[in-house]
Amino acid sequence: MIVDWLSKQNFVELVVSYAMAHALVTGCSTSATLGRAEVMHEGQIQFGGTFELQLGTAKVASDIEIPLPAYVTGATGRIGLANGFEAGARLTGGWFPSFDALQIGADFKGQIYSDNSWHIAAQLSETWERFSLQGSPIYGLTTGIGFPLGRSIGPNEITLVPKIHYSYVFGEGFYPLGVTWYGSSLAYHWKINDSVECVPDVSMMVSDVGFNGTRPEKERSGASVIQLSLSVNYFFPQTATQEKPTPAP
Amino acid sequence: MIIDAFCLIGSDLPRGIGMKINAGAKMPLNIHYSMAHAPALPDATSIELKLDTSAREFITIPVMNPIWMVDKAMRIKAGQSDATFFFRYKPTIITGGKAMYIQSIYPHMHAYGSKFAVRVIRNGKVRQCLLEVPEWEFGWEQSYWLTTPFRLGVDDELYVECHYDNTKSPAHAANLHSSRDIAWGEGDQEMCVALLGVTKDP
Repeated sequence: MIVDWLSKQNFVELVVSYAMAHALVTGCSTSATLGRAEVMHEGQIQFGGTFELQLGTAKVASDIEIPLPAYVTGATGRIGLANGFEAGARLTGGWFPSFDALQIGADFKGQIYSDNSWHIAAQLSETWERFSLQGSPIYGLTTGIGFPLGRSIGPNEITLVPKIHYSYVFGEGFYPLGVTWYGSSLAYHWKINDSVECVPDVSMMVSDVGFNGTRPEKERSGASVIQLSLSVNYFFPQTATQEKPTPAP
Repeated sequence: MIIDAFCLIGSDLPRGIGMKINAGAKMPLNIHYSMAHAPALPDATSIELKLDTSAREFITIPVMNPIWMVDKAMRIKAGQSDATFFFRYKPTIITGGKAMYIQSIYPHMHAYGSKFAVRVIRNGKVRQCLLEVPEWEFGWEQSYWLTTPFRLGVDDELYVECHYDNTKSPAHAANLHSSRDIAWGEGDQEMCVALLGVTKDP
């Protein structure tokens, strides 16, 4: 019985885990949910679904590191804009007995460099999250900056995204927290056919956030999370550009 | 398994209830010693266990906000006379969505605590005050047994509220500081937890 196991064996670890996983790993969006380094063409539209597993640790004492299991599912939509820009939106949720989390995010991406093989972009994302233990909700507002670096391999792309996130965590009954996360993600955008791509992604984020008061900061700080995600994206077929007829000679 | 010593300090569990220990389980003993309140003395610790195979099971529901443990989410500023923190939640993860009976309440704060309260919220409104400690005294921390077990409904939420006074060193712990911020932690830091002892039957 899972509730029995949770309540008697691992309750303390679990509440800390989920407080961390959902309140602090707020908005740790992987590159899989934020697309390729090669910005989409103007008018191109993509929808996708993501399943994400988070594994991590929070160092709450000098000799205690607590695991952070969590899973998240979500849906994303992206559209190519004019002049090398792209916008995306995502809705993700995490569920477990007695816990729930909801994320709504938006991001913008601009192409810095692109040739037939290499692509570099700059990305700005904003995420709002609500997390609850079926009681007082905890909210998070996360701003993320990333620089996707992509290498085309035929129709596919391997994408590395160094990124930094700042999460503002707030709610009733506690002081707001500001937590900075650093990390990167590595994804492979595998084009199955003209309309569908599959994107496995691994992302690693670390933070020096402290635990347990103001005193032994160095012994009780640090958290990390590894996110493993698998996304499937569908590209809507683009209407062929209507070319101006060449006048007959 | 966590055997909740907070509920067992120096006493026996009444009403024929006990903490379940699975056969073959090992029991590590974890004792925290604090010299914040008294000078160091030679260790005279001993423990005594009472085993009762017929006792009915007693489990503990902690009421605290896990976010308080992170960084300075439970910051009590130097000079603050009434820092207040509160939290409410539905303990489905412990109860499995079943009604339970609250037998006891163990309030836990440290030396800067001034007031403590535990309540039950039903349909969004305060339904019952389970425990109110208007003048907190760390040395008197203990389990409070309800005269009549309180039925915790499936949809009831539990609420804890802690108040702290960081304007001066606590009278009974004069070696504690009074001039800097504190937050969640052991020793000269603070905590806010209510541990509710519950059973399936009244």
